[in-house]
Amino acid sequence: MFSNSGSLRIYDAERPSRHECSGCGRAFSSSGPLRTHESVCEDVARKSDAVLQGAREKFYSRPGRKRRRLGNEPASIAGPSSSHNAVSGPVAPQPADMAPQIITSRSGRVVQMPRRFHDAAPEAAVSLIADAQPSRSPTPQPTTDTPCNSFGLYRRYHSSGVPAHDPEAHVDFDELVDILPVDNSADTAASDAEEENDRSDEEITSPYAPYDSKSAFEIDNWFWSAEKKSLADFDKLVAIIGSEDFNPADIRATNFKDIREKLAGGHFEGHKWRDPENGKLQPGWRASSISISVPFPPGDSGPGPQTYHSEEPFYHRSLTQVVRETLQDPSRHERFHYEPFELLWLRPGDEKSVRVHGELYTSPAFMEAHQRLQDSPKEPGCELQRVVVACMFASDSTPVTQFGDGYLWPGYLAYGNESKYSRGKPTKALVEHIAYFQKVGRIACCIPLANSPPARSSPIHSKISSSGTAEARQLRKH
Amino acid sequence: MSHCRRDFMHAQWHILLDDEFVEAYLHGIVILCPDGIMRRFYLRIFTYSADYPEQ
Repeated sequence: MFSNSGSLRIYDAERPSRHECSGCGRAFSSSGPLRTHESVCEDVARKSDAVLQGAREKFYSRPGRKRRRLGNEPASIAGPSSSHNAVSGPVAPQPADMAPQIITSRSGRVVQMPRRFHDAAPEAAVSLIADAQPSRSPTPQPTTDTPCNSFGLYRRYHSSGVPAHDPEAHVDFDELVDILPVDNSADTAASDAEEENDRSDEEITSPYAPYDSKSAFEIDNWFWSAEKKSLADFDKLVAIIGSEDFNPADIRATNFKDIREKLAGGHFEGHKWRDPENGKLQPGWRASSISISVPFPPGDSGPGPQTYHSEEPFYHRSLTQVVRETLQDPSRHERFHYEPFELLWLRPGDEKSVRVHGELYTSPAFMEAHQRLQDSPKEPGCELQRVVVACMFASDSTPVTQFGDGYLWPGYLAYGNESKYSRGKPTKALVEHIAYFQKVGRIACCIPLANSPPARSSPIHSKISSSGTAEARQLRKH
Repeated sequence: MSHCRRDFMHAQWHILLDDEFVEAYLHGIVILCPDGIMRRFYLRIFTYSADYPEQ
């Protein structure tokens, strides 16, 4: 940790024990005249200036430092730098006992930062490369503990060694914090804007694109501006075609049909399970028909169980195929926890550690599933490592239009082997689409009415909609 | 009607959790991981968060 005021101490330390000026070296009989001399000695001033300048450069050269208070005079530089000392660097290893940070005030007095100002940077668990030690406690199962990180957190694996694959080793600082790197995002925005410009240079020539001319744009804009035209709209139209820069030739040259198609085209990707080009199913997606048995009471009073077939097929993917694709993805392999572990916290000074709950791969449920799998008989002739893939399914009806009642009911699959903080980031796209559930629509049953005259014995189609339960009850009565 | 909705949902899950899934559940699937290690993966369902379809 850099401390600017340390430089002041260096200056102090260099002061010889005899009464000699640290700048020019002139000797004095006592400390009083020496102090008077030093306050005016040019060599001393130059030396302290150099020290302060060095400290200042060091301070501002630190990455990510905001350049505030740049115009301060050298004497007050101890102010901002010491206040920044409270912020520890991203990878600064801190002592495990979280000792309060020591700062030095401007006067050189050593003070302690109040605890509320301590801002510890998040830190991943200690890498497994560091030597893990088998637990000494006589448990029936061998466990292996990793060393604590600066917060006193450590992992306990229920095995005699640590796994070769360490997903936490790939976690970098950016993934532990929510803040966006300011400089990078600015760069991205700039490059995005550049790209946008490039694209517009290539494709768009008219400022009214996709319209070729202002006249064409204004006419079409007028047409789409209101569904029912009023007299005021008529006045607007008159203003448009009556204006001096209105050019009827432009209107004649414009193909409005093409423009409408362009405007309507947008970036709609189509249904996920359909190829937008040819309407065929995307690879991996399947369409199955669903049929259920609708129980009407059997016997004379009713038609008995009837089979209902869904109108729309059920679109879904093969779960095993989805899992296979995920596990073969190198980018996901890095963060994929093949083995669960207990996350424990050892408070400084305490003997017993506390279980920390948070991730599925540290949960008792996962540990139990993992253990049960390890205890189960192996597949004949297979010595491979056995891993639990923690499937987490979710589905919810999702409105897909801003107006109207278009709904989709997607089913998702996420893996508990991955961190919830990664899963929660939409940009990471870690949650798989597995299905689009169908809802029961209108149930059309083929119901032969047994005790009816022949004219009515032909099958009739009864429709049961969600509000049609009364209808069903009536049918049952017959 | 709730019965139909529930059965309908179950029928769809029946299609999703097909024989292939049951096979992977019971006997695992062997996959060559990107680190070059073959592992046998067993699918386990931990959570299912959704609305009651019958409501």
